[in-house]
Amino acid sequence: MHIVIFEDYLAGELRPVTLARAAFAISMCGTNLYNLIKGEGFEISYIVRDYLREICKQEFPNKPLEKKKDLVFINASLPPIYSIFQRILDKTGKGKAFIAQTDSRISAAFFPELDFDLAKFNENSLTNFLQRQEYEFLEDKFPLINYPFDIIRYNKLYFKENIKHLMRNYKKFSEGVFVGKNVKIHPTACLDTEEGEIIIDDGTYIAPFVYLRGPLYIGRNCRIIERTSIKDMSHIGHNCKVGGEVECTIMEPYSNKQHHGFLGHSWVGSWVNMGAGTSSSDLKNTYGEVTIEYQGKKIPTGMQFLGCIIGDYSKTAINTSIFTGKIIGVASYVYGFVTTNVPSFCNYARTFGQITEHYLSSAVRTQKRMFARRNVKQTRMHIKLLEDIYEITRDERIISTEALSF
Amino acid sequence: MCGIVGYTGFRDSAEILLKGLKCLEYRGYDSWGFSFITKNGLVSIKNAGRISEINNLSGDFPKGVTTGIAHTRWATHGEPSQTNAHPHFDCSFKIAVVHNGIIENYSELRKELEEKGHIFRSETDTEVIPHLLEDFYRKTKDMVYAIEQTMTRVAGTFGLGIICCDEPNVVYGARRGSPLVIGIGEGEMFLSSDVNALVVHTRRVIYLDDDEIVKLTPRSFEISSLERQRLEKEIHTIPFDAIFLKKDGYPHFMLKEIFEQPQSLHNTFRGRLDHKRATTKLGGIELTYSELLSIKSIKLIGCGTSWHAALVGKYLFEELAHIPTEVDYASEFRYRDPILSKDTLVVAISQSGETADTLAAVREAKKKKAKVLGVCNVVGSSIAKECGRGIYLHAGPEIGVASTKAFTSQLLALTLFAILLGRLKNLSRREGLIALNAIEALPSQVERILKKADQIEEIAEHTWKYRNFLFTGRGYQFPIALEGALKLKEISYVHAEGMPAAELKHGPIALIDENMPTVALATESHILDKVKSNIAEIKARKGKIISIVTEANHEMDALSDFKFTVPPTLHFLAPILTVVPLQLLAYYVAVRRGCDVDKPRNLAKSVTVE
Repeated sequence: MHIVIFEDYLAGELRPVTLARAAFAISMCGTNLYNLIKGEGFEISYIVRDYLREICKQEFPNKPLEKKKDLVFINASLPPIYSIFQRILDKTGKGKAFIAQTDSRISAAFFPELDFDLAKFNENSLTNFLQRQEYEFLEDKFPLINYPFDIIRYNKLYFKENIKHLMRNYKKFSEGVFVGKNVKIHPTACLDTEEGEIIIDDGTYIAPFVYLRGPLYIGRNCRIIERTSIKDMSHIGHNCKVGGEVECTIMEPYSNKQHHGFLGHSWVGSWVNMGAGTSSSDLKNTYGEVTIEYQGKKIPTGMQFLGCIIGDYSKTAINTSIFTGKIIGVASYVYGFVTTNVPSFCNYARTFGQITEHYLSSAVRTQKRMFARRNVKQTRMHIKLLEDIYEITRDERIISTEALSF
Repeated sequence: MCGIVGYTGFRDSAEILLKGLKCLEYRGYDSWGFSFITKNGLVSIKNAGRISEINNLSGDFPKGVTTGIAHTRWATHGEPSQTNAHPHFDCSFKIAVVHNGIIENYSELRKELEEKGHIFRSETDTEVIPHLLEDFYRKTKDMVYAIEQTMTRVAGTFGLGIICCDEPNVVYGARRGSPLVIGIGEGEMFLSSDVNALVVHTRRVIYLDDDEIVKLTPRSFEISSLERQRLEKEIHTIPFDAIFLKKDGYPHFMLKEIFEQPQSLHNTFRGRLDHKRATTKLGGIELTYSELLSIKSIKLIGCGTSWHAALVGKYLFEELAHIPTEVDYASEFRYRDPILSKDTLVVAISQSGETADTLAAVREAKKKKAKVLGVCNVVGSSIAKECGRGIYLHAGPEIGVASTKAFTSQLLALTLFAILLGRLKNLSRREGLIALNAIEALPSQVERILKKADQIEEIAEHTWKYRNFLFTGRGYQFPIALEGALKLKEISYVHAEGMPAAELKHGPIALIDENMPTVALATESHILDKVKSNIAEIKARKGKIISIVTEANHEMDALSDFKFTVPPTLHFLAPILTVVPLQLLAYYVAVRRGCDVDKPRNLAKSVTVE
């Protein structure tokens, strides 16, 4: 059996989360969809948006497909949860073709011995092709990530059970604590596993007086700074530096939050740097449901706790305060109070009456400097990615409710 | 409601006219007639009955005559009979006229002409025309003048074909309110009510407009206005092949057209989806974004099946575009002094684009300065031209009298327009993309339904003997309940009612017993639970339930005697899927009852009379 992970026509709408990554690379619950499936020993091919193909290949091998294989199609927006994936696999047992649909999206499908040429399809054409085949509909409705806040929702919902599945790949350090190779944990660190297990991956350093409360996942080569507190269903991607207080938050790889400040119920993209004192609110004064503004509409999230979404390559200045449920785009620099959503490629200092465009050339220069500090070589591919995102998000800056001053 | 054909050229006109009439029979089929110009004057053959029953030209038809006119009738004034069949003549049998439409002031004209000594032979309104022509022609021997003068005297609608013995190679045509098309051949010219009769001979056509007169000779055409001005008209090329007008192995046009829906739907949205901007592109609406944004209310008008499409449109425009929308029968709209303003958009829906009431309603709306937009299938039709802007369905010719593929295309065209308006206002990019993707899936979803047509045939086998049916649905499915009932009524002659499921308990539930089956439209939606409760009320009264439900949803299983599933789609696109099994049910019940599916009694395809 071969797995085809496919982005559908809505994957790109999960802005800013999927602007710089495939939907299957969204981290949560200790893994991402690609790695979860790979960890189960399956061969994987995938369909992603054109501009992401090259960069995806660096991290996620795309296996060529043999003709007439039994194919399981998994929507890239499916949360990377072992129990959900297993439920889909169980349905293939009867050997009959099926499609499972959630709302109007195909969440999973199975076609035995399907003659399928991966190269012919993209995120817009695959679902139509599948719907033209012979199949039956499944009653099952598998969850899909429809909005950025769904990442926080599903992370919280499934973290505990997923970490129990993942911990088998690590060695036991102490009761409820599972570690990879070369992990250094200072003896003064407090690891609280009363509510769930903690996984600390290869090469990570936990500094003195750190407080970790499970369930929790800390990725490879991270540095958790002195007196940091990371709690409750947080997922820290590889090569992150973390300080201050972090709760129920996902940080994608290579991001920094080195200093004091609170980050809760939030999602932070890669190559983000958060200045000292940056804090996000994840609860309204009214204790009411958080509503987000998304594509010009107010969307009730159904969540009482929701922090912020920060796109890749964005930076926050010292003492930045991000209001509840705000979304910051890719490669934007924010200062002061963030009381509204921030489009991609913006200098946002609304408190001081200034919102200007953050020029692409400046973003490229910053990318190079930041990469250098982590021994990553900036290539044409990385620059092209920023250029593509700049073009894709051009509309955001035009339809922004704030006039851009130049 | 009638079909007319005219020919002048070098070929045997009888055969060409017969073939042409057969293509127009859907417009009327209670009687037929021909007139030819021979060396010995006019020769006419006419009879009651269907033209399709004439397989070969009998000996009565003249051989080698190259000019003539013909007509297939849907009776309005006077019963279907040989006497009332067209053509009609002047007193001296020099002038023959075929007419599609209604002369509203025929009683006064007839009285006046009879007082002058004219002798009438039929009960029809049409006959006043040849007698008026006779009077005016006698004075000047100029037929164009005679037609102009006649047109100033008659009130009502008409598409006319006229021949006169004095001009053996000439056919005249004139129109007001009823369609008329000229076909341009090589050394021959054609006249017809629509292009169906022409496409086997030529694809080059000219659509006449109101108050225009044409003189056709084998090698020329002269078009003039009532004011005697020569007019230069655009020559259109018909894009489709005549082959589409055949049944392609299907027993009836209706069944063929039901099975064409995957393609017709595809044709309706082809080139109109803009994924990049997550919206739709409708080139023909001819309104700027500012004008679209200034629309404060929408009035949807239509008749019959098109009115049902309008009802769905109301839900669409109010939900997707947040624009208050009203639906009117065109026939009521025009006479009730509707309140319209420049910020009102009147959308006229008509398959043929010739529906007389809808056309009149458009004119009324224009008079009141409202913006008008046509949603038509027939390119160049009167409504399309009168509106000057619109959305063509591109569903292809629909011959079956009971509209099927045009209806689903109307629903889709309205959806495309609602998305366009919605995206300018309140519909997010994500919602736009979801809608576009669901629209693209419709053809394969309809195909999936059609593959299970035998299940509907089986249901029809169990239910065709019932004399009454009830159709229920809520929300978007309510208009589909009405449409399902109409389909059954018009081709099976079975009494059927459609109504919102919740309205049953306010009266109609008294009708329910074991002899009253109910077709319940119960697809997935936010009110499915409520629909279920309504159906349970019917079931408790021993009514048989035929449920149309979403695949993989088993909530209605226990309540259903028969169940048919449709693929899941967005709630506002579901009508396009749920109406297909209802079309099939009406068809199979009609066949089982031995009804003439393509030519139901008392009906005609396009209603060009009020």
